[in-house]
Amino acid sequence: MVELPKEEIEKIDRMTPAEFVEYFKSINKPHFDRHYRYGYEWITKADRGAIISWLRQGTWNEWAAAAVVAKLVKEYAEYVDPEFYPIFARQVADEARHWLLRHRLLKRYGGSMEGFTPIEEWVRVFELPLKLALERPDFFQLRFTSALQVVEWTSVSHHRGVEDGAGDRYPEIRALFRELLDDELFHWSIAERTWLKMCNTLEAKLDVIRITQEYTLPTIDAARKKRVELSMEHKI
Amino acid sequence: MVSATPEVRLLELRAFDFEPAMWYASVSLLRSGSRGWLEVYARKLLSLLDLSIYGLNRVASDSEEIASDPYLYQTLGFVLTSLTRHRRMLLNYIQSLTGSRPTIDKEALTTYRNMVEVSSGWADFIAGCKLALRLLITAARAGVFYANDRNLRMVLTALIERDYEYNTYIDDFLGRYAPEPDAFQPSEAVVSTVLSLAMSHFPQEPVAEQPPLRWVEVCREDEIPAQSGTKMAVMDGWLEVLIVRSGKEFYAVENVCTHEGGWLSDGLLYPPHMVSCIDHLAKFDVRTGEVLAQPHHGLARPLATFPVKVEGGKVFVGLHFT
Repeated sequence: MVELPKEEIEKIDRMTPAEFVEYFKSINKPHFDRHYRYGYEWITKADRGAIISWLRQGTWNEWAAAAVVAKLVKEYAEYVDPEFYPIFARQVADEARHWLLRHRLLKRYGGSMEGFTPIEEWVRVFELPLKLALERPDFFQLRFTSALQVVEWTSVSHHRGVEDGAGDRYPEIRALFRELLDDELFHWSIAERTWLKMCNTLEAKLDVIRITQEYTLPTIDAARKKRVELSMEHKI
Repeated sequence: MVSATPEVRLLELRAFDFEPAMWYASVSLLRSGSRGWLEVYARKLLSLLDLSIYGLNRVASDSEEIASDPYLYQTLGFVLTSLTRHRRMLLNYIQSLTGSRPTIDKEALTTYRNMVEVSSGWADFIAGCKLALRLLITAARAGVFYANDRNLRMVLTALIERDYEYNTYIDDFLGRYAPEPDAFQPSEAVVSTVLSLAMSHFPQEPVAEQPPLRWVEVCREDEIPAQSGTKMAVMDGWLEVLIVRSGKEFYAVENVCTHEGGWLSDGLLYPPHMVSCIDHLAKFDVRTGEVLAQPHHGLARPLATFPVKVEGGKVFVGLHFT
């Protein structure tokens, strides 16, 4: 359970939703920096087999992201603000395109998705948004975005690390992650827009902080670490 | 529906489960009342129509199994002729809206080529065509109920009227390659290819829906039993809606089942919020139109819903077109 000092809670209470979004980014900066390092350090050490292994999980992740967003709208439409239906559909289109881009790169490196089983840690990443949202229907979209879209924000840092680390050694990876990064920024903005609209009570703001710190960030940390470990051994 | 002990089965999502995302997003776009979005929407319908035509043309020209079967070849000819007519109607509409006639849609052509490249065989490819066509009809249905443009609604009504035939015939084509065409799922590669075209036009910011443009009186409040009940009403001489009463709340949905066209007013109401079609037992949530239970064969889509208000003992349904 995340414990905050009384003064900190009072400070959060006084924040406008826009101030809260900035506050959220600043307090979690160490996490996001860590994901940059995951991406940067990994790609500078990876060999061809490791890249294939890593891309297999990454390709599945794109499908899982599209699936969880589609499921949100398909089964829980009444809990989604209708203004956000188009924006979520756009995310589905992006994830589908990312699947194709990653799969193309995977094939270029001589890999395929044959016999692939997702890492359990990554399955958890994509099951988390709906599980958490279902526990608080009154905060449904708030919680969904506190899980999925915050993962997207860590992906912005991660992909930037990959792009920087890939350098001239892997120009096709650098180009791909530059393109993915732009879309991840948009996906993260869905959380920002949701919070700007819905983080207008102390309870809502504290819920976002608690969900991200207790669930989202530890889960995505574990998943990214595991993927690097296993792919270095060519085991995905 | 939210359950107390959620069992989230992410990996069970199937290709055609992406249809609701297309539906709800298209509805919001059209309910915004923006002419700009109307044009974007119409052009996307054309892209999906082109992709379907390119795909089925390939089946007609390259599939020896279908070309050698007189029934399949004839029905494929019917589908292609019909889709081509819809395409021409849509071209005419876009020209009247924008002042220029669209030329070849490069995005649809590229998507078609990608689909040829990534599909793992004829069944996979035809299932991709089916997905494209179903997403097209799903989006087109939104236009029939919410586009504030009579010409477009006429074009789209003609298109969606063929839904049942298209589904049946495409499953016949698919059945030449897959033993259970109704249950056959295209590969992730094909689904991703189709989705990346189908939903790429949606905006990167929220779209504010506007209130209905008019309210139409449909019945008196006391015509529907006080606790729960339904009543069918016809609006504007063509639009059948089912008014559902659940205690103090009123809802309105289209009266035609999105599975195979049964009349929901002949079906059953399960208070507080579920209606069931009598034909094949598809079930819907009247608040959102969500499909709560699919029939044993085929697929239902979300139902169109309409806002309802009660004033002076009279029930009014809101429409987003004049």
